[in-house]
Amino acid sequence: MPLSDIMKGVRVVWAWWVWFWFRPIQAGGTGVMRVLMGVMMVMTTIDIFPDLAILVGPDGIYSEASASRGVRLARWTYFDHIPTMSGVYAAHGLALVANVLFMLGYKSRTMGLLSVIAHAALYQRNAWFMNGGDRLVREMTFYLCLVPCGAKYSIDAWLDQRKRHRKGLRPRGTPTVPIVAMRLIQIQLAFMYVLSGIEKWASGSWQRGSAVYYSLSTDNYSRSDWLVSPLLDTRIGYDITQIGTIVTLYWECWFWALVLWRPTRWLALVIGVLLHGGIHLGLMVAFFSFASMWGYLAFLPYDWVERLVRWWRLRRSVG
Amino acid sequence: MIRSAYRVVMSLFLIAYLATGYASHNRQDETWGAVYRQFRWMHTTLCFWQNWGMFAPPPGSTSWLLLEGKTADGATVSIEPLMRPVGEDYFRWRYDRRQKVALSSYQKSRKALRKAIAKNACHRSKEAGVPVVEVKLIRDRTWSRRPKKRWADPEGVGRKKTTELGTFKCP
Repeated sequence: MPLSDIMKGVRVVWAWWVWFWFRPIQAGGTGVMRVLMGVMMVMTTIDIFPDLAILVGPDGIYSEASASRGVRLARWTYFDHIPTMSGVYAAHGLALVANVLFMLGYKSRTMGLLSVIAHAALYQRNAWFMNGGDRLVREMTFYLCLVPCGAKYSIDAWLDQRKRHRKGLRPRGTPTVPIVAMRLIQIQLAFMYVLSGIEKWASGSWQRGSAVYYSLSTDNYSRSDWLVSPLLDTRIGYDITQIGTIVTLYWECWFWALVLWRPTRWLALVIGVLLHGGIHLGLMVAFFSFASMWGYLAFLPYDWVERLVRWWRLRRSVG
Repeated sequence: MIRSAYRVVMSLFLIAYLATGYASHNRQDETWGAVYRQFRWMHTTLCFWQNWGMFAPPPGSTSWLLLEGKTADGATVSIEPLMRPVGEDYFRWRYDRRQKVALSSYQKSRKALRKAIAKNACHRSKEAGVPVVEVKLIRDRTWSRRPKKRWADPEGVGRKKTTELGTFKCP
């Protein structure tokens, strides 16, 4: 094959690759997602404050346990070098500041990365108090930081506009960001569901349809005994949990295909919202449900925020 | 120029990152195992694990971790658990991270975690003015009942079992 043909092929593949990973999209969606993820980060950090001494404090439950879990391969955490509880509170307080600045969009990417590092430092100190929702929050924040997530709805954007105004320059047009963060969020969610689905598929209680019943039956995870008792104490309630089990199993296994095909995308997302809403109502899973549903925003049309703003302005002008 | 460099660097990152995610679930394979060993730092450094087997299988019981201390004169005292068992008609707003620690400690291989919990219990007991010389960890477990049994008697209680998870000397 002549070299020119090979180069042509490489160029075609690269063009597709660039279109898939790097084509510009309007920045509104990423901006809104940054704000919402920032809220989750802030809430997680605040939520850990009351238990900080026991979970990561110098006299708490920490290094031995985490070190033996496998993170010893890449173990690092600044908490190992803070000998006093006041130092631990100060470090956690600084993490909260980074979270708030990420949410507000001041030096967005830097603050986002600092938030991820602070979150991972907690995990590295004591891996046992965090769950899948925490991991999802950490990963999704990192993906957002791969693009200029503060291009809109942020202090960064406001400062930039002010600077341009002072210099007598025209305001920037509609800002755009590479699509790569959205793609990673989409892939992360699809990968998470398919892995979860495969593991559930191998479990007898998921095959028999009793998994949701047993999940709600345990006081360790149940949000409220009186809230779930109508589902657990009656035949019809059990039938509902069986439907929930089967829908969850098949939906998780096929989520990737359902969102890939545009006609079924909305169906997949609506089922996801209902399932995660139900999970959050019935089970204690921290921010797992919110972080998952947050990820669904990456499957909406990439200019959904701009469309919404246009619609709102039009509605106001007509009114 | 900067945009092209960003795309090339990011492309290399994406390939390695996604390949590591896939390889983490195919570690037994010779090729993917090698990929995972080479690039696992991308996941381990910031703890981006890809383990998503939530509720597979679902828990079949409720367990509470109880802590029992022994003082220097041989008296047995109960120590405040990481999380108290819930009572009747409960409703929880907040995810209890202490309970997550307790739930993680039941697996047989996690002796280091149980030891860490005991060490912390020693510290808390000393702070409370009741120094102890050793701490015993006890798992109080109640199995969930099968649906038909529950419908027949909603107020009933499932099978119970208490297991000692080990006794640890205080430092």
